[in-house]
Amino acid sequence: MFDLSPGYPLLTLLLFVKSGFYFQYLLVSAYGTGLALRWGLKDADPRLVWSAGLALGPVALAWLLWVMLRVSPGHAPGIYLVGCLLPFLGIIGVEIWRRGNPFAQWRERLRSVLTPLGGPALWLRPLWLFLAGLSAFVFVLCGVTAFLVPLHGNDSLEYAQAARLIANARSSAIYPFVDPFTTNGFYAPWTHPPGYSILLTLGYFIQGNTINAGIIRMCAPFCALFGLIALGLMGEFLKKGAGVIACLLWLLSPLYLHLIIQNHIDPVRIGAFVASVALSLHAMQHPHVRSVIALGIGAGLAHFTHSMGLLTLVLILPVFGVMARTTLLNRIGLGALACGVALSVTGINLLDNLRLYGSPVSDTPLIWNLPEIPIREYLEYSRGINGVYEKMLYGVFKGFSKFIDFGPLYWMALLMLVFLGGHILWSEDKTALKDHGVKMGSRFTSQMLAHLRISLFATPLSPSPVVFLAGIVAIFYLFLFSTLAIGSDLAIKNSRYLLTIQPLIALLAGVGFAFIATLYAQKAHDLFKELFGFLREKSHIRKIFTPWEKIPRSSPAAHEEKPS
Amino acid sequence: MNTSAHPPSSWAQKSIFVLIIGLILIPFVMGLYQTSRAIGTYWLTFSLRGRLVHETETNKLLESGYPSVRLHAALAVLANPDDVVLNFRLAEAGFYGKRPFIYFIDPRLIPLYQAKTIDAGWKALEKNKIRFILVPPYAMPEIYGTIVQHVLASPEHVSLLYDLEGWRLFRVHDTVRPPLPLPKIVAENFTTHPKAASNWHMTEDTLTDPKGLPYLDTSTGWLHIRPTLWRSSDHTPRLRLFRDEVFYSGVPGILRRTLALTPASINRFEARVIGKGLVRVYLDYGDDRRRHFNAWSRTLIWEGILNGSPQQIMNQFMVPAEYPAPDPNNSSAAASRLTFETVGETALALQSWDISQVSSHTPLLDAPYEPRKRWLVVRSRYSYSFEPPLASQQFTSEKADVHVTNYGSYATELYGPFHLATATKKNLVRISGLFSGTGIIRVSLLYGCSGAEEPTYMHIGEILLTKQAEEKKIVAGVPCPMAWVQPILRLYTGSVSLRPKGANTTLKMDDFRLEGGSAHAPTPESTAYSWQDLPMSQQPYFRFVKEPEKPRFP
Repeated sequence: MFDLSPGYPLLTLLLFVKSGFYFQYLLVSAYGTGLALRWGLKDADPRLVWSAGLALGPVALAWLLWVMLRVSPGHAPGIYLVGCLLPFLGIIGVEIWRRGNPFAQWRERLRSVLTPLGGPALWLRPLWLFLAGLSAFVFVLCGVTAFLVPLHGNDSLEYAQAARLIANARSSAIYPFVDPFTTNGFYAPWTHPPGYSILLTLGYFIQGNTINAGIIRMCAPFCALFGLIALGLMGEFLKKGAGVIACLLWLLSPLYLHLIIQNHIDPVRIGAFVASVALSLHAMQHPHVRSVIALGIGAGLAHFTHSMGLLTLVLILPVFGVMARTTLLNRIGLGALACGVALSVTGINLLDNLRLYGSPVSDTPLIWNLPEIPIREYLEYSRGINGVYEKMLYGVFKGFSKFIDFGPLYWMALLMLVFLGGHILWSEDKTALKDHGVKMGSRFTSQMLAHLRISLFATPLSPSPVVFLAGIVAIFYLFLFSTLAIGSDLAIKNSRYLLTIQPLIALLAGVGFAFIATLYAQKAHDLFKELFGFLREKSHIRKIFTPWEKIPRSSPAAHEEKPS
Repeated sequence: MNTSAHPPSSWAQKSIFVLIIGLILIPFVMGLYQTSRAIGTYWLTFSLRGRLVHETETNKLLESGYPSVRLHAALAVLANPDDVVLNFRLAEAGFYGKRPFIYFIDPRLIPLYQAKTIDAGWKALEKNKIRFILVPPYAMPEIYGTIVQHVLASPEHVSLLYDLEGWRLFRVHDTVRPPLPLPKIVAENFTTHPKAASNWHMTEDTLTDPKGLPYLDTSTGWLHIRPTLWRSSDHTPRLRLFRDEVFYSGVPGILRRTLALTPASINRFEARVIGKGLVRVYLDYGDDRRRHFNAWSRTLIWEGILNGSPQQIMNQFMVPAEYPAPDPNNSSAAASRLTFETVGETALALQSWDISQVSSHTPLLDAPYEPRKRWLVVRSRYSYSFEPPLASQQFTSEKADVHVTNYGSYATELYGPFHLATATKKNLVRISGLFSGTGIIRVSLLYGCSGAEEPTYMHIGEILLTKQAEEKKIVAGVPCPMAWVQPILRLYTGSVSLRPKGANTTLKMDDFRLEGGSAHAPTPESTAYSWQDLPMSQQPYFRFVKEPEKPRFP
């Protein structure tokens, strides 16, 4: 009968295996990119390097494939499949040749990156594990759903069809699709560079056919996984324990989960943005030519996925200009260098757009210029941003008003700020703040002012990464206000665009929550022991409490007590 | 059990701890919500037989009841290969559609949008060989702002074929038909008949019954609604902070009235309004007038943004088959109403409106899709195997009177291996039979079952059964398997959904006919297609070169 047909389980298995191949492609590219960054940036923190490598790797792979499809179109898919992976395999091969098996001491290496897990207090360790498990559960839930449901969603289907046309033609010259005669009517005058479509094309090549969406539905979940780990590593770089909290907070936004399930472009796009921010953190602390070149490549790849990636350098460079620890002239020169490198990655796309549409970035189809079509009113009313009041409430501050899209993150961050402010104001021991890794609170404002004042005349003060990130967020909101001021709804009309900054807000909130956790570590430790202490009686559960090293116990008699 | 040396903590500490745990449980809820939403959109179910995992994407979509995909499946049967479809949504058309189409932002449509008369708009459609128009349910400024709205509301120029949850499929007429006599079922003009305004009521939200009366300006004849929840008496906004999100909005103002429309009929709605903001017009119907608003079923008639000047809004719509028929004996049983729904900060005034009947029946043998939840697909109670015909053989089943009776909600599947010529549009599948009962019978073909690729479903057609008496029905389609799939087909009729629930359906097939191969000369194996060489109307969906030795990739 129908369900006894041998085809179906086999097909599912095939899909599963092909998805695995797809994942391995992305993984190899991420690993290769991370190694390349490691070679280039020897003075960088490994967490920042791997954060950037993970999220940028798939985009770099797509960029290579795009170059191949542009320079030499029309070959068999296998040629592209091998060709675009060769550079990454070469990097990995050289690494193995130079240093032997890179996975030799993987436990130690992993531990060196993840040591902060657990923090200063013992009770935090299972809690961190629990938080990480929670994130993993939510993520796996979304991934499995993406594997099960058919490809749906407006933009996802458009990108998938664009990739299908590219895969069938085996040429990226047909992108963008402004000639509907050659595409059966598919008309997509996008100004986005083809990064995401090329990544999906890779999926089609691996799949071997373009009949169904098949494994390309897993592109966004895979890239979102890389982006999530990248965010966590960055958070761990900022403060111990902040990464896990930031991951969880980032997954709190329902819109993002929805986009993962829909296989939307945003997980890839935002991942590249996060990677650029990680590179800019390093460039800010070590402003030399190599780090700025890396930042430029990151920003260029972020633009390669989506037009909004142009914003990456617009957001980063002002803060970089204020906070980087070199002379003013150097900062200007390095900023120009970053722009130049970014242009070398995707400048040709901008030139193509200029040639085709007359402007490098545009979101307006030709027919919307017709006076018959009241497009502006439509966009304002259908998206609820008619009037200044609505533009503020439902536009700029969407994070607070649209719970269904952005989740509780903004309110949680606000509560956290209020709590921290109260703590700073009413704390008896004000010097206690300095003992913790992050400079926040009352020093924040003075530090920002000092940066602004000094940066114009001399080398800035020792820069704080948290202040740097907060500066990027501030510039983002400044950008929103300035677009509103010139009468454009471009930046606020779409909730997905405001999602760009959300990982950074999650990072900052994660730092704040980790800070609070360390403030109350002892009290919470006691409470935790009181609530869950009986679990320690069970020896097998004790192993969970002591995962990879022996924990020094202050009182060895503690676990010998008999239950009353 | 307490191993801690510390004294028990206070209730405040415990409550904070519980709060923290609650906060970190939010992602659980969010993840489950998003997952169930994605699955629920497509009516997919986790079953023990693993249908959700093992079904093909196309089949999942077709069985999901997602209107857009269903309309594209219907187009694959209805439209000729050279018929161009004007699509007001790119996504499903681009990816799942099988016919050449024009996207609504295509510059070729500028003459259409700039047309001043309906005839000029129709000619602009003709010029682009547009034979079908597919419209999504949400507001499109390219429709309500231009002549397209008038063209779509004109039965002389287009006819409405499908109306699935507001997704509409129109067929553009070859020639402009003479003006139809459109009998007006309901018509009200408050300028000439001010008393009609007393029929209208208003509610401010979904939970309450009528709270106030709309205000009739007798000097102008405009019926104003004043949603006091959003606007105070001096017309300044109030309580806007609690405004609902636009796409999932509540209902600030409702104008309601009982309507006597024919179920499953095509109607034309027209109104003269003045207002500003997002307005939706619904046809609501339900069992009980007093019940919660959300318990009513509703059909979207019109959605758009009013521009502040007097304007005509109009559309064609289909009354659902479940719509309660007017009962002359019991006037209070008819529970239906026309609803003007304003979203957010809006102003609305109504001068006149009418609904006229275009056609008393649906022109196609189709009806609004019964959602998957209503019926179960279980193993067929009846299997019927055919002799596998040769590739060059015309095949007609000699075994007549396949007789299947369904009790309740069961599906019937008839299948067998068939050989069809690939990459040609000359295969013909034709099923004619005597049917009785009430329900829908879906006929589709499954091809590409070799295990190398995911099989693909091709929707052949649907049969709507409305009588208990036997009827002769014919379903036919021209399936075109792609070059690289195995040319083994499965015919599967079935998926019988019953309406009203509990009725019996009897299916008698007296003729099963499958034509292919030599009946129409198959394309030679060596022929290579290249879409650049073909005119647009004949371009295949994929670009492919028919090479038997490399069948795996186009």
